[in-house]
Amino acid sequence: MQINWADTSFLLAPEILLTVGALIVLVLDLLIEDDTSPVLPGFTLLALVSAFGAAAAHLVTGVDDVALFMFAADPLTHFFRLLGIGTALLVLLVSVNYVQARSKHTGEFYSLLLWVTLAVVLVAGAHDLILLYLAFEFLSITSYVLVGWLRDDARSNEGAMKYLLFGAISSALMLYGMSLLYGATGTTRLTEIAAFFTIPETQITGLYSIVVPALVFLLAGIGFKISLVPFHQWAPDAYEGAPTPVAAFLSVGSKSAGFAVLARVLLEAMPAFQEHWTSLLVVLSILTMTLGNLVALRQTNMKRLLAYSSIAQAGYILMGLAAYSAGATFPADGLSGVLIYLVAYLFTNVGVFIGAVIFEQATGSVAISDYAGLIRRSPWLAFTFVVFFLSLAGLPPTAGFVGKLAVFYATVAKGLYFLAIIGVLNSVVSVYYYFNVIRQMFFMPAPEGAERVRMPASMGLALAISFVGTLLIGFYPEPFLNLANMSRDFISALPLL
Amino acid sequence: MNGLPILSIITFAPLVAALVVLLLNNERAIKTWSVVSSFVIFLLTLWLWFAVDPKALGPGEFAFLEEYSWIPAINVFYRMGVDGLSVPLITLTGLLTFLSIFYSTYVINHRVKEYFFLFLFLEVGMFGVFTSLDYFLFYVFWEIGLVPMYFLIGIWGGPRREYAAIKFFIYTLAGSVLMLLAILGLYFSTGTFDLTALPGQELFGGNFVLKSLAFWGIFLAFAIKVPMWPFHTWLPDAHVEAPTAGSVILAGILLKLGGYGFLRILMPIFPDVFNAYWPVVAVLAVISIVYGALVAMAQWDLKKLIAYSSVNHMGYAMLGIAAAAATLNSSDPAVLDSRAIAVNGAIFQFIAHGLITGALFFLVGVIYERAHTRDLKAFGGLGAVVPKYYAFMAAATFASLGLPGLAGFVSEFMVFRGAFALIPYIAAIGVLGIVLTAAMYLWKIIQMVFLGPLNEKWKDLPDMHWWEIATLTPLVILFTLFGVYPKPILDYVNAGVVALLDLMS
Amino acid sequence: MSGAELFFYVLAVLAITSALAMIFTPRPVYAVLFMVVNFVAVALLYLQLEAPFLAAVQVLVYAGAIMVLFLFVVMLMGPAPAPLWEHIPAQRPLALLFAVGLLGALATAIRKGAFTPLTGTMSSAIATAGGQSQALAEHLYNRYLLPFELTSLILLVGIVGAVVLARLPRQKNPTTD
Repeated sequence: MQINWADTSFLLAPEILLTVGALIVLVLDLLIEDDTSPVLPGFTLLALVSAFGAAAAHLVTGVDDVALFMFAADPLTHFFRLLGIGTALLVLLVSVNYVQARSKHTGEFYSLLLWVTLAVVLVAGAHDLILLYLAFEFLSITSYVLVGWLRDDARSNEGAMKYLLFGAISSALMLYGMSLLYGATGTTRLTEIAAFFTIPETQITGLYSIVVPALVFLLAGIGFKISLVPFHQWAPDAYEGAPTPVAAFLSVGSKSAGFAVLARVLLEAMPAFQEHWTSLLVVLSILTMTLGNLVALRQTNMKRLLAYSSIAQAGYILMGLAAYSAGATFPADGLSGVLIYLVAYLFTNVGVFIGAVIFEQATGSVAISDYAGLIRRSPWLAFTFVVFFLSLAGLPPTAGFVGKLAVFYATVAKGLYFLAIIGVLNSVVSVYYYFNVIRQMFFMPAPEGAERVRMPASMGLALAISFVGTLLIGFYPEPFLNLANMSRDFISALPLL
Repeated sequence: MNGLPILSIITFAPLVAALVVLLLNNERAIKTWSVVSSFVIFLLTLWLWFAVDPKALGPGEFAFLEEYSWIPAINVFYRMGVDGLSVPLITLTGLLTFLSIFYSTYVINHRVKEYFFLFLFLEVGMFGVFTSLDYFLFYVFWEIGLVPMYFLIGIWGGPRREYAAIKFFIYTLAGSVLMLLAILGLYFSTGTFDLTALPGQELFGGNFVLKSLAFWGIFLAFAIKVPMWPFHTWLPDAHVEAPTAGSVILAGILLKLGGYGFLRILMPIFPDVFNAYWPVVAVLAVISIVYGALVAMAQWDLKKLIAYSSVNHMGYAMLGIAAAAATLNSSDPAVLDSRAIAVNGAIFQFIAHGLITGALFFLVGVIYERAHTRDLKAFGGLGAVVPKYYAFMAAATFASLGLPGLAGFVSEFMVFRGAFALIPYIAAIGVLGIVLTAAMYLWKIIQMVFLGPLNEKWKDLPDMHWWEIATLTPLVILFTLFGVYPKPILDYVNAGVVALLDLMS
Repeated sequence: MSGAELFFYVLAVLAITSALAMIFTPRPVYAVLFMVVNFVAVALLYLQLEAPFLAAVQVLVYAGAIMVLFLFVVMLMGPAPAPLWEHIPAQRPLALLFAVGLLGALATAIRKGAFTPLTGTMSSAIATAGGQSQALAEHLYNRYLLPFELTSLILLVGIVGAVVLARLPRQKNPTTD
């Protein structure tokens, strides 16, 4: 049971880069007096880019192995690495100006950003329940701090507090479920759990009565992270109170991590129980989509609107998992739908948050009514908002359409017609509140004396990247579909323990 | 596939023109450019009419076919092609868009750049729907057409424009997304989106329930667009609140997208299901005819009256289509004949209605610009004050009610000639609509607006400007010409219809 | 009932009641002390599971270090906090209902459940490894290295968070776990 350090360093290269980067940023922060110096964000950027490069290299060369007995560096992990680090890159670009204007703790912010990215990656690759739990906790705690980072803002504190309390209970539930699962199978390793259920002697009713509660608890814990209904209560306050770039990361990065966990736990560890968790997921998906969309209809605060919109989006993504068919041709298998949707969601949702950050930075407001006449004050910003909202609603030719297409296709292919119809009707409902914002921007006259909305260079760059990505995936989805197709494989080679 | 991809050029030329509009800053330059570019595009569509010989195309064959692999992972192709069914509609689109843009240059004076950008962008969507031969591509263009219209209604529309815009958008979208599910179901069962290959394929392994589900999903999308009763409630608000040119395009082209969908997609791909459910479609068509006419007759707002008359007119077309669907399983030559006549009538109605109702909406615009009211009770005796306007309006209303000698008569005659032979009882109820519309137009419009005592307020109402006359004259000439000499159009359309119907037998 | 089972039940009852007492007592110092009782009970359970090292560590670290820290914070915070304001009128009965329901469901599930027994006993496993701390170390630094390192990172983030959230000018509670 010797650890091969060379192999391990190679397999864990992105993670090591992120960790070392975060530690160095903390130290640099002590050494550098000037809070507005570009060294810290520059170094963070360097760390993220190098980690991204390492992850991309892994993907391209088809690395498929287990590191340190617990971390699966398989295609699925590569995908989520790229997703998580990509999110962090965009969020970093947009947070530089934002963070400097609001607090002196900029160094901590950048290192926390690196930590939270590391957490996302670790969660996605965790192949053992213990590592899964710890990585999940890591993600949660880092997120609590990031949400509460605006110390003098009461809403930030409130958001962090709610997030913390909810998170603590959810993780306790999740751990309880994991312990039940361990008790039932005698192992914490995902593939061994799956193997346990396939042994003929173990098909006894006694198993079901432990595993199903375990499943429910696990779903509760993971559902909290993904903000599924009814575990979503923390999300609106946390998103509203958090610094907007952090909300952007939460909505995409930690949701992706949650879906990665869900995919691993359900598809890798418990395929034997598919009938049980499919119906659970269908119900959760319907609840999440519907409640998220219905409550979003009444929001007047941009960040809360985006929070509920993100909740509803989680419902759509969940449809892909509910419609999972192992071995079905691409993209009917459902998991690829989830992956495609997440890529599309990355560009779209981060994009719309970037727009909100730009507006908030220039005007100090997050009220939707203050967006009136944006087409006059910043035509390009307004135009990008239109594209992002169309993508969120799932209209062609945008990335969101491709994502929804993949997920709905899997649902139809599996025969879950009721779920599919609810899903598309929810998309229609969502158009109402997205277009309400567009209405403010385009139909309403700009208020007296409103100046043009200024856009700092880094934020503009991030906005441009998101915008191009959203349209690119919509017009030319082929490479992204192939990426999702490649990433569907879980760990295939298991070294002996 | 040879030479220039002419269909892509036609479809995307308006997009290029729209992008140029974004770069221009001078209002005059924008307006001039828009008019010139839309005219050139119209000429292209007119050339297309003469370049395509539909008689040379057999069943399932298309002219100017373009096929490029777009998304191999899901077997989606960028595939375009036209036949006798789509070319007339494409040319109609080119004409109406050009006339609308021309008219708008004199009427729209605020947020000019955005207006013409949106209008040209809208044209892309419309062309795309008529030229697409891949269901995925069709869907993309179908949805693209929604967004510019939303903005056009919402920004330049009447007092209730925001409500009308979002209602239009959401209503149409609801149908479209259900169609999306059906499209995905079709792909799952057949593995292709190819509209040239789907007709004749066995769907869902022959499972009639699934086929019906898909059928109704697609039916809903097109029925909302046409619009058929009871899915028409978005239309009055959208048409009334839209700016004049917007209403022209809505009534003239966008409604036809639905009808085109019935003929291009629903009938060829689901012939047996359509044949099974034809009574529903026929009954809805007849209700649209009668209800549309009755409600139109009850209106005191001129624009709303014409809006409801669109429901009535499209009902005739749908009656023809339903009659054809009713007899899809028959191969009796007399039935085949009547079927072809009915569908020809439907398509001719698309063209005629586009021209006539387009003209009517322009005429409404004319009076509204001057009087700032559309209340029929407020007018009276205008015949003497604005004789030119009276002449145009009379021509348009007579055409609309189906007076022989004008295009409306040809299409209604053909529809009923076909329908009476195929589904006589239902058709008989439909004829009621013709009587009602006659009453409606003669009384409400001609009598109340132009005859009778003159309302002193309008004593000095200016008659039509040269540019209003220039906009309306082509339309009037065309619907008169086609009413008297429909042969060129009919021959063209008929070739396409025969090919389409042959495909299904 | 054998002596071992009796021992287990007594400790279990002690752990649960001290936990409940900790939640329901209105006085913070009492709560901390009840928590210490709970930890000691769990440590004794570890002892019963033949893990003396873990039991010792539990008492030393949890009761010794962490609860002492809690006591300091409680002392610094001053008198008892303001009473809770309950939004939903039926919150307490509802919570009780759900808790009892969940307990009932879980109890039924676990009673019917077929847990997989571990092969061999703890003491034999420890003997093969040459002592309990050796066994622990072997796992912690070998098989469970990644979770172990991750834990240290979690603690680091906790410290950074505490600094960010709690440093001047306003006193705010540090994030705890």
